[in-house]
Amino acid sequence: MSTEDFIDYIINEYEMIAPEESGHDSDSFWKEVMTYYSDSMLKASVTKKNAARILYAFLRHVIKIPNVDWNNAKRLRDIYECRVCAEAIAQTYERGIINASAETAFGINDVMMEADLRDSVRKTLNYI
Amino acid sequence: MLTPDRLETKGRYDSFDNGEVFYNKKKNHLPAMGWNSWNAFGSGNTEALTKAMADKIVELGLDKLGYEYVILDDGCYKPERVGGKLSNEETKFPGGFKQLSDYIHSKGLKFGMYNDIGTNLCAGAAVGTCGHEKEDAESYIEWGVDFLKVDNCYYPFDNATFSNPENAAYTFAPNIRAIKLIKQADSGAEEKSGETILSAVKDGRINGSRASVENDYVTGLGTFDGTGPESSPVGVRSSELAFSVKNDETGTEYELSVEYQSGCMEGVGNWLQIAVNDELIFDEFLNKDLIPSLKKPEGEEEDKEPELLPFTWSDPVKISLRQGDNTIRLMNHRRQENTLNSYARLLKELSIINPDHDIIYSACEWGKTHPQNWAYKVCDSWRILNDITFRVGSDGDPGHGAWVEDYTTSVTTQYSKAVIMDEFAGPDKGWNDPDMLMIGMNGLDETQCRTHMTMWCMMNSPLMLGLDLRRVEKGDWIYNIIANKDAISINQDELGIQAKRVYSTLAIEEPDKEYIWDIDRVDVLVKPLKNNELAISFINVSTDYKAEKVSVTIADIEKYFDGKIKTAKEYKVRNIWTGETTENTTGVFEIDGIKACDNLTIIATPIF
Repeated sequence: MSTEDFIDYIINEYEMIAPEESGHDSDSFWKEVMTYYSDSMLKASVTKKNAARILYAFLRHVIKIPNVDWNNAKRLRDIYECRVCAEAIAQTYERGIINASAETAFGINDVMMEADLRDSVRKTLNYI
Repeated sequence: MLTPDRLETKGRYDSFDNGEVFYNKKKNHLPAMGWNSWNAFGSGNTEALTKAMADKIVELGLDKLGYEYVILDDGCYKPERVGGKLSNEETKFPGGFKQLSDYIHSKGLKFGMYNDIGTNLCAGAAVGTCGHEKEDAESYIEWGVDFLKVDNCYYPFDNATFSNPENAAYTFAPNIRAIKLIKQADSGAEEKSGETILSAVKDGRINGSRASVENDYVTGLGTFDGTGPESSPVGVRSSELAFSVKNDETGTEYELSVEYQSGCMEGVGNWLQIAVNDELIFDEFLNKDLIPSLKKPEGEEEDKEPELLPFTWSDPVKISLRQGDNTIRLMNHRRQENTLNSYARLLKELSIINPDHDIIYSACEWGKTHPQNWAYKVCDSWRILNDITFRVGSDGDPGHGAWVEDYTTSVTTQYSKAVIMDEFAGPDKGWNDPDMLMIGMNGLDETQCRTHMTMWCMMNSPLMLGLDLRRVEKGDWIYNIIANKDAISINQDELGIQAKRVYSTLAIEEPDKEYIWDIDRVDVLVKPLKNNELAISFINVSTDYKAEKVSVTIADIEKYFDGKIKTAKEYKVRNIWTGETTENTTGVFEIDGIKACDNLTIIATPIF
């Protein structure tokens, strides 16, 4: 699944379960995430850090839930390697949406398998 | 394929201390003051929010206090160039940058923007200045930009954030086992009677503070990575391997070969610089098969073990040795040199278009290459560490700042490094930048924010507000901190002397030089001001109350400033946070207990 496909998949899944609330909100989510990535990045596979960033944008723009405090996320050594996705990693990790690859490493550059991506979307939509 | 430029002598490590700036860079600016969008809104900043901030700066009168720059950080451009040029992200900035610039200028404020020396911006947009300096300089001049913050993500010539890790090949020398010298007259002969092999471990000497011996070779020839808080900013932050060679004849030509092991990881690279008696005679990749940019584009994710090739002998390089003692230096200073060169390329283009431009240029390479050594040549300030917070806000969310954290993400981490960097700052150089202010973010209370402001003012740091100013009203606690005239006057004092730490309860010998991480301490900072005034700050860095008496005398202070300050027997003393005034006739300034995270800061005016 490419990054662009992943973004489309989230919107489609959301519209299936909450059609009356889709539209403007998912529109602003889509506009937000499309500013993140160049064309080549949209075609690339989805790394964990990018999955976190996209799902975090969804949590903020569509589900609109406040951030939780960083707890176990502070133990992830690689979280500070990505200034633009650190909060996203922490929020998706603390909420159990994306798991870490080890006790002290999120695995920010690991490519996510399609099944894991679908599972992360399912967990995200549970917050609606 | 992107390749690092060939460098002129003026951009080399050996020229870092010569005090010369590039391209007529204007100096004698005081630390910049303003508002930057990043801590407040992250990459979610918009034109409407930016205009609202500009309006609020004027409404609160912050412009009259010196806050003049309104800066768009990452997230404002389209993710791809349009016709080779930068353009505005139309959803967020529908009116375009020129219109926004005009709006900000119409308020009597100045307009700042953001870019990156790499191929992409940190947030991902593929619009970094690398290779596009000319057209970007044209855009910035056209848009009336007064301030540029330039980042270091996706940088192709170092293993920077989001860069390929293999780019370490550019910035570290290979492991070195030996060098071989053959007299040129003998090089074609079957019997190499003039051949000399010198062992790196037994015959070489490591200068500086980065490299080490491992088994029978020397490794780590390069520059420390200063992004994290681990390494001190003071002293030589790199190392070289040097050989002393005595030559009994005049002008003998030699062939020099190096026994090396190339790699592409932090500590072991593939780029070698060789100098003979200060003349650089080699500066490029040793192994042509291990050039990262030939393997994959920047930012492409790929998990694989870094390569480490077997030891081998290099092709010979012709060198000339003078009669008597010679020094052969093996090194790699490209981490600093490449980064300087990349920042210089944009400055050069700006200067070609408008030789009189006075754009404030803020290097945001996070202290990675120890910019305190070189950035004064091209910039007005330089970040000293990775970001002060990774938990930036958004519209409706103030974000989160911390007083203490293990990494760079706290007031005290940034402060503990910057506080010993006064030797690098000054009007003829520029300013150490411990990142934007976190005043008004969640996670910091009023006392901590007051001390945060004090620290930044005493250290001549740029004062970049990082909060949604719509949350501030005149007279509230946030306003009272950011608008404190005495604090600002300390930061903006025309002498431009960064405070020196003259005492710390945890310092052993040199409080102004020792890099102290442990926050369980009280520091005393002194900053000479115009008219022979002194700003003196007692700072409890700890999160616990400190009961001990801490004092500093005028005699102590004089010692740290080498007699360059004029002292008096009596002082009129004003507390900058309470406004209380007293007189001091003892020449002893002291506190007797101080609250957690608090500061007591005074301006002492001499009575002659």
